[in-house]
Amino acid sequence: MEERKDTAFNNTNVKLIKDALSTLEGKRNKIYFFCMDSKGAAMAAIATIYEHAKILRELGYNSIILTEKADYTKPGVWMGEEYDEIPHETAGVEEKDGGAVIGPQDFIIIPEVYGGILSQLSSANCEKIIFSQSYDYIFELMKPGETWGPHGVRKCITTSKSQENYIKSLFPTIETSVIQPNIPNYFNSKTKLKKPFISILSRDPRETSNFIKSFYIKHPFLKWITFRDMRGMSRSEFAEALDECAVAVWIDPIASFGTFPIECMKSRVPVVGLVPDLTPEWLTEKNGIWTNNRLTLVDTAAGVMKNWLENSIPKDLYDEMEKTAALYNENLASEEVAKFYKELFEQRANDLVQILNKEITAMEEKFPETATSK
Amino acid sequence: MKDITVIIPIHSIENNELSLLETALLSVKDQKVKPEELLLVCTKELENKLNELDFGDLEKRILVNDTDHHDFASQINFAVESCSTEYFCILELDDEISSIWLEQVKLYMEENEEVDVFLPLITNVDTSNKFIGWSNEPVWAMGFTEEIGILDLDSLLQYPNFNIDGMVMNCEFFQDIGGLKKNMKLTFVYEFLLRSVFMDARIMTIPKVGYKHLNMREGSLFYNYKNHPDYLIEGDEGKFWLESAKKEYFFTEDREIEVTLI
Repeated sequence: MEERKDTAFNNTNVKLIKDALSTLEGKRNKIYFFCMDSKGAAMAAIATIYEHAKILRELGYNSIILTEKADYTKPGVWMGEEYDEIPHETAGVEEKDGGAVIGPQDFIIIPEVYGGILSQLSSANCEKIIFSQSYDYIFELMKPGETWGPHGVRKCITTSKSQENYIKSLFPTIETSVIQPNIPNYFNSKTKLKKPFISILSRDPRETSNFIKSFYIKHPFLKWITFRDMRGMSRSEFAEALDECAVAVWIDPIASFGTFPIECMKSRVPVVGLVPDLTPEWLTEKNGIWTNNRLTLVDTAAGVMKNWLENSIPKDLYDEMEKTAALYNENLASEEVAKFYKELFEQRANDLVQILNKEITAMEEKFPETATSK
Repeated sequence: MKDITVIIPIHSIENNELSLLETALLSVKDQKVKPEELLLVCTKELENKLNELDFGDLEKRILVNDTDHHDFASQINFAVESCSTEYFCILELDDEISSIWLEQVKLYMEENEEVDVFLPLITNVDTSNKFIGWSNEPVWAMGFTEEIGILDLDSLLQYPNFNIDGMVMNCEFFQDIGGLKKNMKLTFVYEFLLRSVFMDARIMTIPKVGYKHLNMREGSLFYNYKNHPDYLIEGDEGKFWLESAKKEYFFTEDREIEVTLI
């Protein structure tokens, strides 16, 4: 575009948009990932947010983790130190104090649980995107009748087709994209001979405790079987511990994607699981032992454990697990993340060009003497 | 890959024991990985009777124990001396090894070269084939032993109920530590395991059901200790043998023991 020297064309809006375009093209724009604080506990949703930020940084983009409070606990302890090195900024801190400064070239990715703070961001002129990994938390902080659209949200990222469909049913005007979660390559089966351990993961810790207690009471002949509660481990420790186990139990009725079962399948550990309310698309009758009955899940797990001890778990199950697991890997996830954000930035650049053109047209109409051929 | 001989010690064949032996043989024939040899050790009188059995394509040998001792421990000791393979596996005539057992042993041998003795997870059944419990499983309970899956002396001294049925062990090591002791009566298995661990054997329970043990069958050794007037052991004598095992495991020699009850 031809550079205009006259004052009219150098008005604030035009300059702002031009700067934004230049920043966007030079990959200097900021991509803020608003992130909840798990206080050092491993959380799949947080891991996915950091993975996106990390992939973008590796591609040369300026991704930043935006935290609610300054005393935020970084996830390096359980995810790996390299994740702590991603720049962190705190929301609500003044620019002079090192706080976030957001412009039209920037992006802010907000977890669905923070839908309620969108009103506070209404004046921010950046692109606002909701990252929905747990559909159950969408309305957590939102007022009755409140939706994302009026707060300037046009897009939503989610992790499964089934969740995408649900979001579309709630917010039909929001453009929703699916990006599969990243399952690190260190989730694999290194241990040839597993141990008679059952790994268990539930959203609510009470479920784990109740499951183990009822398992031992109902199946006393399996009292010697060790349960591994998968909480409180770093992600790589988690992968190692899981790989040793013979069987896994998954209780998460409000799961949106179900990272844990995929991690199990990659580790060749059969999963006994409660079918979530929103069935993820990877879940088939053949790739796990699924039930809708929470009360008899303990008996199903005991039966599967007995089968494992007798070496009679069907080979077909392991084959199906392998097929499903192959659909999810680090490379595919990285490609999906890169593709999504590249398209997002291109679209934003196009939007800004259109806005710029509108501004110029408006200026030319207001000051016809300055009009020239574009 | 290590080679294994399955040893079946046979003291007598009475009542329904022949059909039980045939079931035991079938369990060997059904192995996914066949043993290199099947060795039946018996008395002279039983040799012809055993020769009439169907062994399928198994490499079998019937070994006559011409010594004066035909108890379980003596039969095993006698058979191991004659083993041509590196390892042996014990199968009682009224029991069965599961079809996966030798296959699993070989898999675990490859991954655990430092292990000297592999014990199966045993399902104990009653005479109506009803499950009554496991044997050898406690080593997999968290905190039972110092190293999960591996039997150690402290745990064994606290909990004596381990079983060597289906056990796979190196023949040379078995002989080096003195084999089984017939003089230990009802605690010969316990004393053997204590001695093995004391002599630095690494004993692992493979966490797979490898053996089905018929418990307290009429005429079996332990049935007789509990019920037969000629063998009956009760009350304090049981405790005596348990304590004797804890004293004798330091010695490889099978010393004569005189029962002294206070």
